[in-house]
Amino acid sequence: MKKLTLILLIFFLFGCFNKNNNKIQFWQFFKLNDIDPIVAKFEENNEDIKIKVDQLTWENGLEKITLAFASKKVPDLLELGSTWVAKFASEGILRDITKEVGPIKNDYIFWEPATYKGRIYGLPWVLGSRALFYNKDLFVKAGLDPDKPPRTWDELLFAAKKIDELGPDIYGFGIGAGEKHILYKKFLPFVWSNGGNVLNEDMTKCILNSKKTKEALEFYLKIAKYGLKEKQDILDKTFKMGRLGMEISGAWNLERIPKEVPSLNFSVALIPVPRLGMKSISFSGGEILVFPKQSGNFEKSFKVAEYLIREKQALVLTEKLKSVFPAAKETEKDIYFKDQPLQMVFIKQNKTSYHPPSHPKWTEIQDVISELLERCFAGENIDKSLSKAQNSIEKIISQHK
Amino acid sequence: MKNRINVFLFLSPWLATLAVFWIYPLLFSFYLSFQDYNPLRPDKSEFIWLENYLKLFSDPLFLKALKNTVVFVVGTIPFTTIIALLLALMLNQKIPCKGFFKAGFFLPTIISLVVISLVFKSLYAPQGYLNFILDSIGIKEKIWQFFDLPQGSWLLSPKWSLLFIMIMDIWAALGFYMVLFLAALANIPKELYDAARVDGAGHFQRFFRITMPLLKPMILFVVVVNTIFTFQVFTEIYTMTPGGGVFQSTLTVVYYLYEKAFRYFDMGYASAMAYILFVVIFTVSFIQMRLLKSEMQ
Repeated sequence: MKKLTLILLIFFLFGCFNKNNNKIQFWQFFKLNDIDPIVAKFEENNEDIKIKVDQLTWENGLEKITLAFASKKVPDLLELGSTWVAKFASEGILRDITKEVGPIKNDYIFWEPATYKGRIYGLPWVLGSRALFYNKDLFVKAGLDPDKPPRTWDELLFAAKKIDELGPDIYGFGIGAGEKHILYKKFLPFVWSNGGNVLNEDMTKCILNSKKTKEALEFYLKIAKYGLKEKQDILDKTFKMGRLGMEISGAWNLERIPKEVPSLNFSVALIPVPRLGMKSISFSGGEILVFPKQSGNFEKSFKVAEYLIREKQALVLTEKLKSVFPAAKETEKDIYFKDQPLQMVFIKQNKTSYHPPSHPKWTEIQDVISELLERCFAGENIDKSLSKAQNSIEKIISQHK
Repeated sequence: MKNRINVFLFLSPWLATLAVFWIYPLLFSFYLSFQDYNPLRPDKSEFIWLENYLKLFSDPLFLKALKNTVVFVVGTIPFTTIIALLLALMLNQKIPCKGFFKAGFFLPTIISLVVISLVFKSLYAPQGYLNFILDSIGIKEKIWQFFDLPQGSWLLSPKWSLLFIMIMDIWAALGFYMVLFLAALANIPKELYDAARVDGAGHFQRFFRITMPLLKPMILFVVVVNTIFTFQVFTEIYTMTPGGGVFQSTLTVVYYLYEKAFRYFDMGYASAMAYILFVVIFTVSFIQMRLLKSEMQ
């Protein structure tokens, strides 16, 4: 009997140590080394709020978040990728903060991905875009001017062809392939710059099957002949090895390339447009801070989030990682960017970029687009593939009205 | 009586773990398979009887995943078993540095499968080592033409990517089963071989009349265990061809159910898939044991 009581007591003791009510549970994707100083500063100035930061990884972060909601053990403050917010908001599990953001709305951009059916569900934190990376040395070798990156589709095709001809191991342009979930980020910029899109403004109709999309598809297939079709990490690697002339990629390379291959002579430019004078429209993405409804700590969490998104704090991440920039309006005017011409390209690119439609079924829609590309690369008829894709997407959005 | 309570108390941590992490998920998952369960809104789940199961049979992606998984199993088990057996037979003789070879072949077993997958992903890349070797022998272009790989991206081929993952899997699994066979071989009494030699039996006769029959139980074990394990192939796909490959060429059942649960938020459907896989594996193992056991009698 004594033994049993002892064991039961021990179990109870362990149970009692789990009350964490005063600490704000903050789940985010940056390395603890990078985010802790910012959080520590907040705690210094706000003695009544303590924050417990957890780092998620992009590989299984979505899994952990899903399980948190399923088991009703949600964090108080959560970072979501901008393409996920619509889904979570549509399920009614995020707090509507339209009222609370009233006073600060004009200080930031990128509210659209955080908006669902006219209500705002998150704070835009840091943003990123995709631009054209090009290898200056390969340009010179191919007889091209290294200070005049291609501005139009024709110039891009010409440059890709010239560089691809340099040798059997050298490729002109990097085309995304084999990665269902990010393929659209490489292809849609061409559709968008040409004036096309996947869904219409209010997301009630699919407008993918259009002349504009067809032209973008045909160009994409044409340039693929002078390119390397591979997954993002392999394209980045080939670019770093100096064997890929140009690729569309993200600003994470601005930190990695100087570290890994300092001798690589490269630069970044806006994504080429169909004809001079048109707007260069790339993919715009970012991180949004949201507030799960089930958390009981909204006021404190909002204070933390409002602090994090301020330009001064977001710039700390920008300086360290280079892959993101603050969502603060006109952040390019900050003196930090004066010596960062390459990061400025991303900010400039972002100004004319689109975020994919904030539709709760975006994951399913992007699968259709990936399949469309796979089929066309495999040689299927473009018109047939486009109309198949159009039908699939129409079915998806009609199921979710 | 007191003794029984003590025994129970000492076993209780393990029993608790079994109940919480094995029995409960097993039952809850079965329960989920009859529900329309969105993990983001568990409160909105609905009971839908056999709808998940019926939907599965007309789901082209599930059928493709099932086909790929069966191909994977049928294509790897015979090779793994036979090569592991051959290695064990070779290493069961008096040769120098036996220990070194045994350790070497066993090495993949103790390396994380994720690490192995990442290494092979790099090997199979356009600028990877495989292409480098083919190039130095001078047959790169011919091989690329034969496999229809204009750029040498082995994992992006709709027709062949699964095969290359299977090859990696066979390589990684050999050591473990070789060790099992070595143990079984060590258990065969030497006197049998000596007696056979005295009676004038040659190499092949000794092998087929003594070694093989006495190895049958281990062969059965290896085949059944390997089948159960291989039907659940996931890590390799997740690491090397996320998304399931071009045209779902490397989509397997477990990978598909993982995506359905965590990317498309349909856990009921994923649970139904898991149970269908369970039935398949159970049936196959049962048949294997019946067939191979009767051979042994």
